[in-house]
Amino acid sequence: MFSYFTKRLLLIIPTLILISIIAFALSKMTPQDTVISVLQLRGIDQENITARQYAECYRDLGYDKALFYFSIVPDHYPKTSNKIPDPDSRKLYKALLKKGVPHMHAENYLDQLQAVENRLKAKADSDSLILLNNIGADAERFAAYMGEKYDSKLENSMFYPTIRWHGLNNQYHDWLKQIFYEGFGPSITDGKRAVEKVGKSIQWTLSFTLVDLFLSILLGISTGVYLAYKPQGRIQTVLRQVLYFFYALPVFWLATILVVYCTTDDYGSWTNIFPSIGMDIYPGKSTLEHIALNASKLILPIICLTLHSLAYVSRIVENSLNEEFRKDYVLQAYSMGLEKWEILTRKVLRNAMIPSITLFVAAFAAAFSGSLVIEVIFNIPGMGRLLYNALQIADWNVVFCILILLSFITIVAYLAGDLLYAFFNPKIKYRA
Amino acid sequence: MRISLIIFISLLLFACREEDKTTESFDVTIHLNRDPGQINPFYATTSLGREVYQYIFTPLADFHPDDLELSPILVESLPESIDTMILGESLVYYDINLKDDAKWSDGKPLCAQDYFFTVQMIKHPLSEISAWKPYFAPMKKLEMSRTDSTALRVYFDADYMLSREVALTTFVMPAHIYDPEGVLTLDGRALISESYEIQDSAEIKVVENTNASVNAKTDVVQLGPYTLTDFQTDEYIILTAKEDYWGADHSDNVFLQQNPQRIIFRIVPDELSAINMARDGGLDFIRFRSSKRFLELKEDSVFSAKWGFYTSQIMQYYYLAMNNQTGPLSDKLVRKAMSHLADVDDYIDNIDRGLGTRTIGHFNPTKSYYNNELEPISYDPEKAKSLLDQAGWKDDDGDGIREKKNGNVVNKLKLDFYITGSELSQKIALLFQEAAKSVGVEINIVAKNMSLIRRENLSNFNFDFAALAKGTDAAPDDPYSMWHSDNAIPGTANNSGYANPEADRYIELIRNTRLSSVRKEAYLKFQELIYEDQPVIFLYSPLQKMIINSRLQAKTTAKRPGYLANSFDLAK
Repeated sequence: MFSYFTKRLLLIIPTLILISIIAFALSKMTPQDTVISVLQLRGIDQENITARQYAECYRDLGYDKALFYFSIVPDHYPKTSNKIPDPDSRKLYKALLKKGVPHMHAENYLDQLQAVENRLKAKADSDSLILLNNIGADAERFAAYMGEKYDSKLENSMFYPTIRWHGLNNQYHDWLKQIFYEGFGPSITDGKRAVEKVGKSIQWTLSFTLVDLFLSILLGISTGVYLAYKPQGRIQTVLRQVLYFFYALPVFWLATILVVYCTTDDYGSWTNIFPSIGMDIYPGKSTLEHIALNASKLILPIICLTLHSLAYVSRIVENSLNEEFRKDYVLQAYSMGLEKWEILTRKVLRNAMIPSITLFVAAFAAAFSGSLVIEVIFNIPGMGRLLYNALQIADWNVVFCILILLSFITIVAYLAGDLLYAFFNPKIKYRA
Repeated sequence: MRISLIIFISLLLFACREEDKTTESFDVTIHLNRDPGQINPFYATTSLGREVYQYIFTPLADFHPDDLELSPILVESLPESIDTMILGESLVYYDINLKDDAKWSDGKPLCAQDYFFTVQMIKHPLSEISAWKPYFAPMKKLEMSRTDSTALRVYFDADYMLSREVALTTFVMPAHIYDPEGVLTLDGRALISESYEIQDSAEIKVVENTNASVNAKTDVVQLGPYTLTDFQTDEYIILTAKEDYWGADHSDNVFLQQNPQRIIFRIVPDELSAINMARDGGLDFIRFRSSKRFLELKEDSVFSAKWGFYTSQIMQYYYLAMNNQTGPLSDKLVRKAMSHLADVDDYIDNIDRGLGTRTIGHFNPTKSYYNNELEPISYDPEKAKSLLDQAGWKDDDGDGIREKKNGNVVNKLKLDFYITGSELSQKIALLFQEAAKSVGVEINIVAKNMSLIRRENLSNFNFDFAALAKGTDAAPDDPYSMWHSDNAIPGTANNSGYANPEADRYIELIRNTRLSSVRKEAYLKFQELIYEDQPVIFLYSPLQKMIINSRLQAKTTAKRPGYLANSFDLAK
């Protein structure tokens, strides 16, 4: 068993590396241009960005380097096509390469195109402008325009794959270095280290999600046990209906209604039950102190989340218990003269908890990612809101930091789940 | 008797002192819908950043919120331009006299060297102050007085229309903080030019250190009435009134007032959450995006009893860009027909609930040179049909879509309309699509991210329509970048590709003349031409929608962001 868990622990490393590669690759596929985002944050309107500014920023961000340690490409490709900063020229260059044009010739065409563009821009009559427009960034149209200058015989008809090594001078490696040495690097919004921002926001998120998790599990198990132990009766029927009602209500709707009607005296002084939303400010205090001083303001978010998840947890526990109660060993226990309560506490409960472990583990991992809806409605600066904002403005350092952290927590949580399985059910054997 | 008199006077003085003490200290809490990121006028000139830094940093002069005219802040008075010739070059100069009592927050006096250092930094090739560079390119020379540390003279190209605004609306950096040795401002150093070559490592160090100040949040040495005391990203920003502020002696100057003790910006992305916070006193000021929600609250008697509702004209307009370069919309008749299909009054009434002002062109209706003689284009599908007929687009095959023969090729009048995901653009596109369908024009609505629309469509004229917004400011408008044929090329601000030699002549006249009457006439004629050519469909200028807690006495303005929190006072 020990070697099994050691192996599982060691597997976390390649899993995290794989996740980081996938995340990195996905970030490169998004349509948002980070260079433009960075320049806009430096106060330059997109319309006023010059080619020189774009190229400088592109190089500053290291986007002129290859993406990974190696690449497998057709042999007429260059070491990296990222050397060309202008996105349209790069797109055209890649299109020409894809058609089979050797990279030296493709670069030559780009130079010719630049010369044509400069000439047309200098001329600036309507015919020139239309021509310039028609050339655009489309390889076919470009090829058509170039006419006899474009030699289609140059195109390779057969592509032979080749491996290009880029060594440590690549974007992924730079990014890994940034993780270890610079805490995932700076956020593009305010220059603060991503890890600091995430560290702060996770404290807010955990402050209410962990309490919600604890209450949901505690109350959910208690309610589930109660409903399984005494399934019939008017109280049980009402309780089930109430739980289903809260489960059916969308969290955002429930939260909005509670906020509008229960936090102010606009609708009568008796409706002002909970503190208003928005955390109070205590300059100079740490995040934890802020959370402690705002504890009363977290009650309503916790109630909203707990009411919603209570029905779900109790239903799972009740079903699981009912299933156990139908098993032969329970019948045998009855025949031995044991009371239902004794059977429940001594035998059934432990067995019934096993399927619920997965649920609790998943809920624990999810607690770290926060509840975006609740954080937005109650204006809690937690991790869900941070991730949402970071994605909107392509603040990749922050996104990566959250992603890697959540992946790590999820893996560890599931490992802990496996341990709990073994604890609750000694029959389970692990092989290394 | 004498003793009684002394006691009486003492009591009187004591009473007066007591009255002074009763001046109540109060805070103002302002809503921001997102984090402004960097709040530095040199390195991050976003409008949201300005909303915060305008109380920390102070320019030499600014557009007054009441009349939108330039008004002095750090200068004694506004200088007039004087023509001169230097080495055969025609220039204008301005004599700038800084206020003698203006002091940085560390107590050092503001001097001409600070201004010189700021300009050198803006112009330096290693400087990351990108946004200001083009404006300062026409500044050719700067001279500091040898006898008066607050006097200087700046020279600009004579034909640069914004020279006065650039010279005076600039913010200033403290040279004694960033360049204590005076590396960039040594005696006899010339103003940095485009062909400038970096001289030594000391200079590089000064520029790099100054560049690094972009992320400085607190302890910024500046001239404004407030200082940044706390900034928690995505949560709040606190500005606190400076003690012993030099501007207290100029409290009649609205930009230097320090009425609230603290100005607190709360970042609340969700508008509904902000309203809920406001209900319970968590916010004093909200600027609305949604007209619907603003008016609903106004009708809520419980809410409106505690809040003041304000609207003001904003320096922005919505428009539908049309492709003047290629496709059916390159024909003026078709563009005019399309203009008659936009029921702008309906858009204002039903989408923005009446909170908008129609505009006939690029200039804001509050500007003195706005051409009021031109009537807004009316919604008239019949006129549109007739114009399309004239342009040769007819529905001969009876399929409900007009077509035009070009040799043997038959082109159908099908147009792509690019929008972002915003509710406003979606609604306008749908209404326009409906109107176009009724006259035989098929509109294909394409929703895309704005940066993608710019990159893939606008920047290479690969579109027919695009729903856009344009922000302007209180300075005189320079239509060159958006309307001159020099810029009717891919990837520029003239994204409609509008080109008219006559309009070019008026634009050049606007930029070059120093006679305000001539400029005004050129502005009016230019608007007539744009009105005639209809290169885009001008929709309307939205009204700024704001609510302010009734406990406060406040004024709103057309100057962005629409209010000045430092001038808010407690209601009497």
